[in-house]
Amino acid sequence: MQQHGLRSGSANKDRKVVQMIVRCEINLYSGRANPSWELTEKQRIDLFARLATLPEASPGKRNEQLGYRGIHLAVNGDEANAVQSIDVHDGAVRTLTRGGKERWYLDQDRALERTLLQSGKGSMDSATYSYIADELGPAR
Amino acid sequence: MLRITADVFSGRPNPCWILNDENEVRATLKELTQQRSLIAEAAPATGGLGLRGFLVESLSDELGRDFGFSDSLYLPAGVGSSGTDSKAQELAERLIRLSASAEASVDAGDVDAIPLDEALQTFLLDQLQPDGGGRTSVADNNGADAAAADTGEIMPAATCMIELSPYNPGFWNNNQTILRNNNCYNYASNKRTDTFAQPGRGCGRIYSAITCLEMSRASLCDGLHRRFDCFPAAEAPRYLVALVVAPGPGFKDFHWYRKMKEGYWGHKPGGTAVRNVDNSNRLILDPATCNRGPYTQFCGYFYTCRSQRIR
Repeated sequence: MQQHGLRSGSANKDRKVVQMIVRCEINLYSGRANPSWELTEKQRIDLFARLATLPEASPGKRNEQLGYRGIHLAVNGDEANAVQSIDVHDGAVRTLTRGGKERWYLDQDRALERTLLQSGKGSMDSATYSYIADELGPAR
Repeated sequence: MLRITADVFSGRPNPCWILNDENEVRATLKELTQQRSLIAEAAPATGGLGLRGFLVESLSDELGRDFGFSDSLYLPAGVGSSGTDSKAQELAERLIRLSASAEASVDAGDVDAIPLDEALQTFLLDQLQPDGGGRTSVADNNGADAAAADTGEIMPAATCMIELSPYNPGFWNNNQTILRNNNCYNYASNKRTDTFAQPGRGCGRIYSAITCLEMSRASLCDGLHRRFDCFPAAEAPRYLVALVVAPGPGFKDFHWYRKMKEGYWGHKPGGTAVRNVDNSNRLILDPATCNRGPYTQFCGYFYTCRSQRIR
């Protein structure tokens, strides 16, 4: 199925993923700057491959409370149907295209959220990492 | 020469000033005409109460030709604009500040004419604020929330005047640039900087630890006062704000709340939307006792001020 130009599975799609920049940010703090990092090429390819397998879900609610609020990914690119941002939190994934189209997916057992957190382990101190890992809870 | 009229009053004559300095006139028109999308040909038929915009009229026949307009331009501002365009805000501020070096344009014998002084500038700049001039000044007489605390606050020896603005989350939430680049300190101070402002950075001595003591020190350094340490009227708007800290060890951060005209408190968790409810989704009536998640330490109440240095 074709989803936001990222689920086509074509060589063209892979080229786009290789060229793009995906900036990951832990949506955590209120006053301080959040921990953030860029995904490597391999991590980007893995991310979009996983996204393509997630089951669609009905729209959820975004977490705007104090404390850990999930992981936000900003994707560069200028095509209207390309994904601009991805928010992953508490079993839900929300993608938003540059054209403003929103889709929701199910992140079973928060597996994608855990993988993304692990990709940023070197971008935050160990106490912060442990705090977020605790918030996520153990994998089932 | 250029005549600038602030389209602000309903019954009395609008304040009006004339710019004689040719270089200033041309520089101002150049800036205005470079932002065609922000300019209207005339005042809107319905603009609401408060500052609606500025009428800029050429007083000679050459300026219009040189800058590509007939004889006047209208810059919507305040309640007459969307309120989120920073360039429009900047242009409006420039027009207001020009009144300081301009000549008053009044009819002889007009007893209602507003003098072109600092008070007028302050009034018009206030009207540009996101709260649209709907703010009120009240005495800060120690509500239930003052009971909070052994926080080293000055006790109310005097009654301080503060300002309360209407809750207006749209200004912060509807524009992605504003939403993502302004944090709780920006919101509490009601000052958009787009820099994710940090206490102490404005005064050059940013905090060195996330503790109540150090965050308070940095905030006072930026110009804030502790509650009941009054600011004079010239420092309005003086908002009542509250500082809290998440002490860690895994989660260390600070957070601010601002008291609103409606009686509750508003806050902006980082780059997310402004809200008036706590982590239990309850309206915040007292930041000292609401559900603050990991921000368990209540550091105290403060006043912000006009001269606050925030960066």
